[in-house]
Amino acid sequence: MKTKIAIASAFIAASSFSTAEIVINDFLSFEGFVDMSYATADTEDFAGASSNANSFQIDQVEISWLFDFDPITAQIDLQYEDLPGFNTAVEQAFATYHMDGGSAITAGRYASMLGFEAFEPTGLYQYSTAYSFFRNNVIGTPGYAQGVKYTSESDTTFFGISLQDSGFGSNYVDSFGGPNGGWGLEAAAAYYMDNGVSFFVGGAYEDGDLGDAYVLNTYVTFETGAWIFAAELNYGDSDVGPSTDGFAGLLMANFAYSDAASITARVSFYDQDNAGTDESGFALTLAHGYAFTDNLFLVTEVSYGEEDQDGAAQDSDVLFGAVELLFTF
Amino acid sequence: MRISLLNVSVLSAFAVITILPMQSTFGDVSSSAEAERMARLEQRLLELEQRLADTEQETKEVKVLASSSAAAASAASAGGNNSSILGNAATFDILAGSAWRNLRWTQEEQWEGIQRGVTEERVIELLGYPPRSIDSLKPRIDKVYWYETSLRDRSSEVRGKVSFKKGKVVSYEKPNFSAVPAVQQSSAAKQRRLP
Repeated sequence: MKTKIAIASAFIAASSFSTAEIVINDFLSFEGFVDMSYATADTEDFAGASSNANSFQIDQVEISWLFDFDPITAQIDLQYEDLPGFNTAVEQAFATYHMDGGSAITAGRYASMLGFEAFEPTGLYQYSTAYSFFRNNVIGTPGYAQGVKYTSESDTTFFGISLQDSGFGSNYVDSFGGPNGGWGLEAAAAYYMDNGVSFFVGGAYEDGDLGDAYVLNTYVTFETGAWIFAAELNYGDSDVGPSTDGFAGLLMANFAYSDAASITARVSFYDQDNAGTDESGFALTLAHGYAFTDNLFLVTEVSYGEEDQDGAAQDSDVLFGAVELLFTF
Repeated sequence: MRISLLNVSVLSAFAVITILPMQSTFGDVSSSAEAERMARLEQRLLELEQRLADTEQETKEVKVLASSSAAAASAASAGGNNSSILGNAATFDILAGSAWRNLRWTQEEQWEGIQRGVTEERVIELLGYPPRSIDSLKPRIDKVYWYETSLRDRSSEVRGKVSFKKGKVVSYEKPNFSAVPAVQQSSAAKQRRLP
């Protein structure tokens, strides 16, 4: 489950702090996971054409090398992922200098601080991510970027600011310097309350060779007993390619009904102006997670997504199902 | 000279006056020697204490080695194979990590303070840093600390785990100290509880 879910995901990932590991010696330890799944999708596009797709595959394998040369730490994430042309990659590689008082400076390639949902399946409550069902140019949160960032955190607060090569590297092409080039700036802040409520607000701006873009991201989480609730809202504006601006967001509830199992419901949506065309859509997801052990987790999911586009012959929809097995170490 | 009561008295008084200061001088010499002796003893005591501390640390490691070796031998005799080109896995583990690995968790007394609700910091204080940990995939457990003599060594009974939720212990499994040879237990019992 993700961050432990996402609460931790946003903050812990942002601080690059990791406690899960196999310790080799004082300076080196490892952690990682193997993610495999069966998925099926019945799709009907805006023109009314139907299609069905199935997959049974290893989605992702990742091993993290964790170095600790106090006060310097470093992390290298090597992964295989089923992406065309980019099966193996250095997902993250960064070094962090830790200062007194919870402050740190990180340089290298690292994940964005923005977004409620975790980047890795180990931090997700479901198989899919909230905006993955929308085929249009939905404004989402950034992926990985290369740069330098300053972070500061305490027991109840987090702040970070990053100067990086690109603000919106949502895939490996973009995040390696991609077609938009330029530079990006990202900032985030979070506050956690004793009653289980946490607030996050952040934004990213990219001054690219092909255009500028920015996104604002905020979410609130509430954890009480076996329940976790989350609400996220993004607003973005981009003139990279077709000019796009709009909202996207999600609502999620997760209930752990036993020590080893939980059920999750999620609603995600978007509404945007894409080069003068109004587009909107929503997706409903119901997922169940069962942990055979602390290391082995089975996720089953059913989702339904629908999109509406001005001028299209009809709505587009997708019915999606997946079974995922996740092993961590 | 005739021996008279007067003469005897005078001689006695002279003797007392002469001998008493000498005794005092000898006493000073003796006291100084005693202090020197005490200093040497204290120095010796310090040396012995240091040697004892060193020996205790070595004993801990040897205990783990012996326990794991015995278990490995048992597994091997049962058809298993727990050795590698580096020798016993636990041997390699300790050689690689003896400089840093905290083996407090191999002492049964150290587990007495582990119970539900204890903080993660207190667990580390009592048992030391775990050789392995994961972020648990179970929804009601955040992370798990594994205390093992060798990673995933199922042949050894000397392994335990502690599960946390929000930084507090929610469940734990102590090592099976009853499976440890009696000689090791008696040795462990003699060792004082570590802070």
